[in-house]
Parts: sequence; C-alpha cells; structure tokens
Amino acid sequence: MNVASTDWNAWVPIALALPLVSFVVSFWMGPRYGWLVPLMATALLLAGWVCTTVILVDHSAGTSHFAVPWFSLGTDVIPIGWWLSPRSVTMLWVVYTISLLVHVYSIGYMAGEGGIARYFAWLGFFTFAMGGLVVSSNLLVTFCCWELVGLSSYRLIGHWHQQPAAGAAATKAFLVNRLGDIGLLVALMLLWSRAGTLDMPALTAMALSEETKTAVGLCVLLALAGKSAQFPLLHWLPDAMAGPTPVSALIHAATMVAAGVYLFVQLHFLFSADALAVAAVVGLLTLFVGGWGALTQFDVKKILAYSTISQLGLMVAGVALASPEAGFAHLFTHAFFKAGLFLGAGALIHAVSRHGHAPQQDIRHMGGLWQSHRLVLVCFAVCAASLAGMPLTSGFLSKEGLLLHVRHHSFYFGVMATASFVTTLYSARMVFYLLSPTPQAAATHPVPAIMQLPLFVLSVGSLFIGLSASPLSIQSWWPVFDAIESAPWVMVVSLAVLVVGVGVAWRLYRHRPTATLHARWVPQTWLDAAQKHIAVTPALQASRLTHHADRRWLDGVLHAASYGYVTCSFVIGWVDRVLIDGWVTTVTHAAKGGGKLFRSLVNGKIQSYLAWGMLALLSFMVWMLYQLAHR
Amino acid sequence: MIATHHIFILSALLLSVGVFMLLTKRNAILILMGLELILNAANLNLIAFNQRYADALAGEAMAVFVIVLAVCEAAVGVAIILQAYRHYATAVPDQISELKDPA
Amino acid sequence: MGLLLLVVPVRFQSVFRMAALVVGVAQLILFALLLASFDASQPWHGLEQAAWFSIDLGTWGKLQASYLVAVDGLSVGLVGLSVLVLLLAVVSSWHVQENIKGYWSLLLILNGSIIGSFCALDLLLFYVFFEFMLIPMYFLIGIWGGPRREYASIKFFLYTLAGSIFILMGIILVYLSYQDPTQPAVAHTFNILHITNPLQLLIDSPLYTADATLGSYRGWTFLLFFLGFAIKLPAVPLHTWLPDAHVEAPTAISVILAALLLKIGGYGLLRFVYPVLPDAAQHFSPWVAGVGLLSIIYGAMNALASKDLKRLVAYSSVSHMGFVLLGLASGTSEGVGGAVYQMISHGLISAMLFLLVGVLYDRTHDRQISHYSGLAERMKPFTAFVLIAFFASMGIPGFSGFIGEVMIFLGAFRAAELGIFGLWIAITATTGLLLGAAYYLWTIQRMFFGPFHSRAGEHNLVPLTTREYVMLLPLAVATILLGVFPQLLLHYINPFVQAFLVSFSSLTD
Repeated sequence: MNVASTDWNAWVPIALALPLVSFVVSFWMGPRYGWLVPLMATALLLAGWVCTTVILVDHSAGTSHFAVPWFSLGTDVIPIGWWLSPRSVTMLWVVYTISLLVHVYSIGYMAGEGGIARYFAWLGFFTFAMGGLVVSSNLLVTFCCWELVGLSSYRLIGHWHQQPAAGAAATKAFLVNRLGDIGLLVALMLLWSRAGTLDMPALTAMALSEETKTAVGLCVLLALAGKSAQFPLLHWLPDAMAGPTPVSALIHAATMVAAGVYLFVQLHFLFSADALAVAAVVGLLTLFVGGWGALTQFDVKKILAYSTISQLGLMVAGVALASPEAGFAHLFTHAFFKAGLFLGAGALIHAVSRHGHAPQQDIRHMGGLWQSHRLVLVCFAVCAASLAGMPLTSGFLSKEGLLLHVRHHSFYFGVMATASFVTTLYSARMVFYLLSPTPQAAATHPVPAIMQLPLFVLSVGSLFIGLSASPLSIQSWWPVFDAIESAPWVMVVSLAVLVVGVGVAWRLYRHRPTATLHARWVPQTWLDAAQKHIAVTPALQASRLTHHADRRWLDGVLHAASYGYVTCSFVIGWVDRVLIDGWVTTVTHAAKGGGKLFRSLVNGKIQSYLAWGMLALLSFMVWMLYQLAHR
Repeated sequence: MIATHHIFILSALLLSVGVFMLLTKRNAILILMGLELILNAANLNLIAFNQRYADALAGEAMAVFVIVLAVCEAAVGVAIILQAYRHYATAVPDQISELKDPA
Repeated sequence: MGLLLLVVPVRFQSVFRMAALVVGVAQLILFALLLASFDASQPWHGLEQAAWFSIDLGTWGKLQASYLVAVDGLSVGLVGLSVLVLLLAVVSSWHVQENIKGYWSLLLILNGSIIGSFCALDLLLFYVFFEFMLIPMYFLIGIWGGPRREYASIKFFLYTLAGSIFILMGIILVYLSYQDPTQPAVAHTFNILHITNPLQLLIDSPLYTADATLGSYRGWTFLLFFLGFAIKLPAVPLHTWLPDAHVEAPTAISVILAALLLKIGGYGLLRFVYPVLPDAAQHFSPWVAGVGLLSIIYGAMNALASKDLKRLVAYSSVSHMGFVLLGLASGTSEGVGGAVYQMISHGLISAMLFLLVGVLYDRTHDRQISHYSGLAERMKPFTAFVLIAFFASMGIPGFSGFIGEVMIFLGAFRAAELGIFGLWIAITATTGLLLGAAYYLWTIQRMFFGPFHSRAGEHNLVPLTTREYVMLLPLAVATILLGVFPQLLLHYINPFVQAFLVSFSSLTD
C-alpha cells in the first residue's frame, strides 16, 4: 500500500495541536496558576478557531489528502493524515466554533468551581480528539479519536466525581460507548481483512461486495448507535447530564454525539441498501423514543438530552433515507441551536440556583425570569424555535431539506411529519414553562456577560442566516450543502404541523401542569431495566460463576489432585516402612537384642570376666575329656 | 617317696583354692595371692612329673622359671594395684569398672 | 559487546541494594549501547558463542551444548523491557526489611536468568535459564510474601515445574531430530539457529514426518511445548497459579512476574516452537486461538468478580495474555507483530498496575476494593497514575495497549478471512475490550469516585514519594510513547516478523 502524501496544509496540524497544547499546559499550570487556565485555554482555542476558519475559507471545494506513515505492520503501512473535503472542513469549523463558545461561556459558568484546570484541560483534549476524528483520512486514526472523545466525555461527565451519580453516569456512558466502539472496531477489521486498507480515499474508490457492505454497515451502525445515542443504546445520554452544563452543550449535544452521524455521513458509501434500511428503522425509532422521553421530563437538561436523542434519530433516519448531505445539514443547524439551548438552560440554572445547593433544573420552578433575564430567554426561545422548525430559523430549513428528500415515500414522509409534531410539542412545552410569568420564589442571580455572549452568538447562528442566504430554501453560502428545489406543498405541510403542534402544546401546557409522570412512562426506565437484565446482571452473574469455577472447580481439581498425590505418598510411605523395611528392621532388632545380651556380660568386673573365662576353660576341658574318652 | 598322684591331688587342691580366691576375693592383693597359689600348683605339677625322669632336670628348671616369672608378675601386679589405688583410692576391682560399656 | 555482563551480573556475593541498583543501571547503559549499535536489517546482534560441554558418547555420537546468546528484533524489546522493569523492581523494593542479603541476591539471580533466557539461542541454555528462574521466584514468594505465601509459592513452583517437564520432553525430541551441520552425523544440536533450519532435520528422526496432526510426533511435540508455555503464559485453564502467586508475592516480585515471567511463555512459542513446527502450529491454530479467546473472556470475567485489587490486576493479565495467543494463532504479520507488541506493552502496563497496587498497599495494608471510595479526592497524583494505567490497560488509543490489541485484531480478522480459524473467534474476542473497560471503570467508580472513605483511615494516605514517582513516571511515559509512536518498537519487531513468517510459509508450502 502506498501512502499518498500530497497536500500539506500547515493550518491543519496547528489547529489540531493548539487544543492539545491547551490540555497539556492546563494540567501543567493547574496547581499553581489555576486562575490563568481558563484564559489561556480560551486564548489557545481562539487561535485554533482562527486556523479552522482559514482552512474553511481555503477549502471551498474539492478534496485534499495528506498522509505520512504512522507505523508499519509487516509490509503494510498505516498512514496518519487528513482528508479535507468541504464537509469535513465545515464540521471542523463547527466543532471549533462551538468549543470556543463553550470555553468562553465556561469562564463564567465554572468560576469558583473546583478542578477548573482539569475541566479546561479535558475540554481542550476533547476538541483535539474531535478535530482529529473529523479530518482524519485513516479509519484507524478516526477510531483512535473516536475512543478519545469517549474518554474525554467520560472525564467530563465525571467532573464532579464526588457525586456518586456523576461517577456512575460517566461509567455508564463510557461502557455503552465502548460497546459501540467495538462495533466500529469490528467494522474496521472487516474492512482491513476484505479490502486491505483503512484509508478513506482508497476505500471510496473501491468496490466492495454487498455482503461486506451489509456487515460493515451494521457494525458502523452499532458504533453510531453507541456514540449518537440511538435506540437501544440511548439511555446513557440523559444520565450524562450529570456533567457540567457547558459540557453537555459541547459534547452531549453539539459535537460528540453528532460524531456518530458524521461518521455515518462520511461512510455512507460503505452501507448497503439493507444496512441503510436498518439504520432508517433505528433512526425513526430513536426519533420517537426521544420525543416521547422529552415530553415526560421536567428537568430542563434531561428534556434537552431527550430532544438531542430524538434529533439525532432524525439525522440518522435522514442520512439513511434522504441523503447524507441533508442529514449533515441538520447536524449542522442542530449543533448551533442545541448548543444554544444548553447554554441558555445553563444560564437559567445559574440564575435560579443557590450557591452550595444542588442546581435547580426543574422547569416547574424556573419561571418568572422574564423581567430579569430577558436576553437569555429570548436567545433560548430562538433556539427552541429553531428546534421546533419555525420559519426563519435554520432548523426550519434543514428539516425542510429532509422532508423534501423523502417526499415521494409517503410512509416515511408521514412518520417524519409526525415526529416534527412531537418535536414542536415538547419544544413549545418547555418554552411555555420557562416563559410563564409565575414569580420565582428564590432570589435570582444575574448572568454574567461572558455567558450571555456565546448564547447570543449561537442564537443568531440558529436563525436562517446561519445556514442559508434565503429564509425559505437552502441556498447556502456553505459549499457543502446542495441547493434543493423546494416544493411548496412540503412547506405547507410542515407549517401546518408546526401550527398544530404549538396549538396542542398551548392547550395542554398553558396551565403548567405539575404532575410527574410515573417512571414507567420514561423510556430510560425500561432501557435501564433492559440493560440491567440483559447485560449487567448476566455479566456479573457470569463473572461470579467463572470466579467460582476458578476457585472451586479448577483449583478444586488441582487440590483434589494434590491431596490424592499426598495420600498416595502416605500409603506408599506406609508400605515402604512396614513391608519393605520390615525384614531389615527384624534383623537389626535381633542384632540389637543379641548385642544387649552380650553387653550385659561385659559389666566391667574383672572377676566376672575371669569366672566366665574359667567356665569356658572348664567346659572346654570337659569337652576334651569327653572326646578323649570316646576315642 | 611320695606317690605322684598324691602330689597331683595336693596340686589340684592348691589350684582350687587359688581359683576360689581369684574369683571371690574383693581385694586385689588377695586376688594376686590367689594367682600365686595357682602358679605354685602348676610348679608342684612340674616337679611331680619330673620324678619320673630322674636323670632330667627339665621339670625343676621350669619350676624355677615359673618362680621367677611369679616374682615379676607379683611385682608388676602390685605396682599396678598401687597405681590403681592411688588413682581410684581403692584396691577393690569391682569399683573400678571403667572397662565396662557405659550404657 | 558487554552482553556477557548483561547476562551474568555479579551474583553470588553478599550484594545489597546498592549493588543491585548499580547492576541495574549498568544493564540499562549496556542496553542503550546495544540499541545504539542495533541495525534492524541484521538478524542477530551481540552473538556470543562458547562451547559449554561436549560429551563423547562413543557410537552414539556427541552430546554437546554451547553458550550461545544473541538478540534480535524479538528479544531486543523484551530485553529492554526486562532491564527497565528489573531496575524499577530494585527501586520499588528499596525498603525491604527482612533478610536483606538473601532478598537482593535472589533478585539478582532472577535478573540474570530472565535476561539470559531472553538472549539464549541454545535450547539447553534456554531451558537452564528458564528453570533457574523458578528457584529464586519460589523463595522470593515463599519468604517475603503475604499470609498464604507457602501455598502460593508451592502452587507456582509445581505448576511451572510441570510445564518445564513438558518443555524438556519437547526439547529432547527436537534435539534428537536435528543435526549439527558442523559435525554432521556425529552430533545432534540444541542450537536454535540450526533447529529452525529445516535442512538440518535428520531423516528418519522423530520429527521427520509430514504428518502434523494430533497423533504424530510433530503434533505431540507441539502440544508438549504449547502446554509448557501455556502454563507460563498463562492460558486458561492452566492459570490458577497466577492469581495466588500475584496476591501473595511482594510488590516487586509481582511486577517481575507479570511483566517478565509471563512473557517467556509467549517468547518461547515465538522463538522456536512456531519456527520449528510451523505445520503443527497451523494445524492447531484454531485451538490455540480458542484457548486465547477463552483466556481473554474468562480472565476478564474473573477480574470483574474480584474483590481484591491485586487479584483483579492479576486476572487482567490472564486476559491480556490471551490476546498474545490469539495474535500468535493468526499467523499473520499483523497478528504476530501484535503479539510481540502486546507482550511488551503489557509488560509496561502490568508493571505499572502492580506498582500502583503496591503503593496503595504500602500505605494502608488493605487491597479490598470495597474498603475505599473517593480516593480521587485525596490522592490526586496517585489517581492520575491509576487512570493512566487503567486506560492503558483497557486499550484506549494513545497508550501502547491499544496498538498491540488493534494489531492482534487486524491479524485475527485477516486470519479468519484466510480461513485459519472462525470469524466468530475474532468477533467474540472483541468483547474482551468491553469487559476490560467494564472491570476497570467499575473499579474506578467504586474506589476513586464518590465521597471519600477509607477503612484503613486517612492519615496513612501520604502523598507519593519521590521514589514512587521515579518508579511510575518512566512506565507511564513509555506506555504513552509506544502508544503514540508505535514505529519506535515496530522498527525492531517488523524485520523479525518478516523473517518469522518467511520460515513459517516456506515450510508449510
């Protein structure tokens, strides 16, 4: 395999290196200059963002590929490098933009928290890994970054590791992701064994059999289900909200969870029709489960988490059914409005929470902020509108794009339209609660300007101008999105869905019902139960079984063998002592007895010696006389 | 002239007395004296046998030898007894049992 | 070349820790010199040969063996690992209290025999070094070990001795089948260079058969060797000596045991078993892969159930050595290279893990996972090292464990594609990664997250000392370095793997 080494672009390594430098330096400076870390990390990221902007401007069209050998396996060489296309460049820019905004926001949000250096370090590391994932030209390197974003997500979810819930959520997130990672690993290995390369440019040019494509596609689907929280691996994401809110915005809304979709878009060519059909089903299922979940929650972050799940499902279904570009467009707009929603939610939580208490995240207790936090609420509402797909927002456009693509399949079109209705419903519900004039009981805190700024930027990005020059159709200034001919009836349908959705929400939630749904209605409850019964408990039981086997059976056999051996040796020892040694012992005993007898004669008395001597002489003489007499 | 067999009887008696002394006396000196008696019994036999051969003096000569030997023996024996007495502060052989196995 | 000193350090004197340290540093320097003159394109380096003994057996020919040592791409990495780990073991046992003289001299004997067996190119010499490791190990566990040390040391000794017997039988069969080319028809040979050369195979000798299946001599010889080395490796179900030996052994000895002794199992298979019996190896490769798979899953399962931190780490070793077998069984350049890489990487990582367990044990004399919680709060640098070691062991990219495992998987899947063993083996093996993550993350969650609690009290939890930093830092740096720049090591491994596969394929064709 030849390593193509073509287009060197110095901005790419610099852009990737800066967050990594931030990671290292943050840890280095952490103990002594903790106060400096947020500023330094943000400055480094700003520089990185400038680099990505330059790359974005440079790469308006075409692809460029650069690779150097990373390591060699026998005669094969695994290269490391980048593969820039309009899509990857755009994604890189989005990652850095959101990351920069989150950095800025975090300066305010995390002020006074412990472990700031650690927090910013891992933010930087995440940005590096995510950037690497986006631009890498080799799937093995992509896989590395894929795992590393999971690692940084793990560290950031568990940032407040003193809280047991955060630790458990981090573990859960990592393990579920790891399951997906294994899918990706298997996909890579299948590609390696069948295609002989993991280089994306080479793979695009390769014709693979349908069977391979199905297998690889399903494995990648598992991977993206883990990372992008698709059914049935979605239950980690609501738990992941135990991390700091800016982290949720960056990782668990805008970028990392979108990495699965991004990979799907990138590897779309590796999917067979069958695999795509499965992906579509998974995506649509997720879409509904997420939407339903969002309706059941009162915790603002969890609502947003379920909303993210639902939107990711929409993207996956969109990529599978419509086109990769349409799905990617939604990913792009989602990144902005969802990050905006999270940052807005974070600002509101900041406003109503009292220091030293658990953060107040319940939308039933977050109303009445209109007077004091007008800008935050407006920005939040704009982003929510984008989520719901209001006209004039970017969400409207990207959703429109998806619907346009599937307009000829009445079933899929109907499902997506219904899903849009659900999305509208929960978005409106959330906004109604938050905008309600009910007075806030607790004193509120002002939101610092440094937190409002990113929020404002993101809400502007959520308007149509973030995606397109025209408010009605995608006529993008982004090179990556194709202009699509709009069909008026599609727009009418989506508007009708929107109106009905808002209307129903108004009817249902105008009076702010506070009853909590029973836990059994929350998707997470039964997914957690499924996880427990299908995976965790059997694994633990199996592990106890093997442990038992190890201690009892394997060691038992060993011990039985050794006891048997020792017993045998005792038996043999007895035989040896009693039977074989027996006659030897008898002889020695006889000798000993004789010796004792004779020794008693030797009593040390000369006269007894003499007497014996005389006796002997006498008997000798008697014998001689006897002999003579019988001659 | 005394009959030879009478002399033999005397000699046997003398030997018996000597052996008896040798075996029963507790004092080493008396044991030594018993030994002298045995030697004298032997001398008596030598002389008695010589009666038969009047022209030969071998028996008497042998007896003289034995007497000399007995003197030497008595001298050495007494010396040993004296030394033993000095060492063990006793002349009773039963109390000197170092030859015996200690067990 | 000072390899002689490398192999036979100053031993049987009353050496104390200073002497041990000096030897360790000297070895490190010698190794650096060796590395500087190492040319990866040449097969053997620092070859030293001296006749050891030669007995004339009349019409039977001659029984002879020689002192023949050298390093190549396979052993250079392992020798380097040994030198580093042995030096760190010296550092870590700096405060051994009882019977200092015995401890240090045994440690040095162990040192010599480990490096010796990695360098030996004469089967008999290898066997002698191999056996010689047992004795100091036995005493080191049996005298300086934990409460059940007698049980553990005897179990270790008997198990390994049983393995040695199998190996000895195999060695004799191999010896009888190969001739010394310098004295043909007169002498058989123990020389690995000769026995790996099929031209020296004697006609009508036991191994002279095309049949490599179960009943044949070749099959039997392979099985004998495999059994012997599988005990050492260890492979399930011959592994039960390992957890006990590890749990009872003092820290430095656990480190040596896990990082070096286990590697000799894989090393022996790679050094001569596979090259001498490639056909048998190929015939049995589904079984070897199956044993590897069983070790991976079974070891991980047991680690998940372990309550003692050290036992957990010990079982994780079983699991990771299963990967070595899987890579070996694949018989592909990725898989074999990955097996070598995994051995070295596991050497570094397991050394670090055991040192970390030792660090905690030194402070509290308590290794029960459930007795701790929230350690991340109190012992930040310690936690950082633990996280590095755990993540490295889990196979997170950026650490050497990842490269080894990925290479092994690449090889395993390619082997499955070539029909060497079933695809299901390769796919099931990947779940080992999930289980690995599960037991480590669960441990982190239980021991390091949450509110602080330690049953042994908190006053014991003093910060890491300089000595402990000196032990842990090189290992952490080495793991990361090998994870980011795998070519550093693959540069040496690749030529070996090429040569290995050439001999492999030339015989099977």
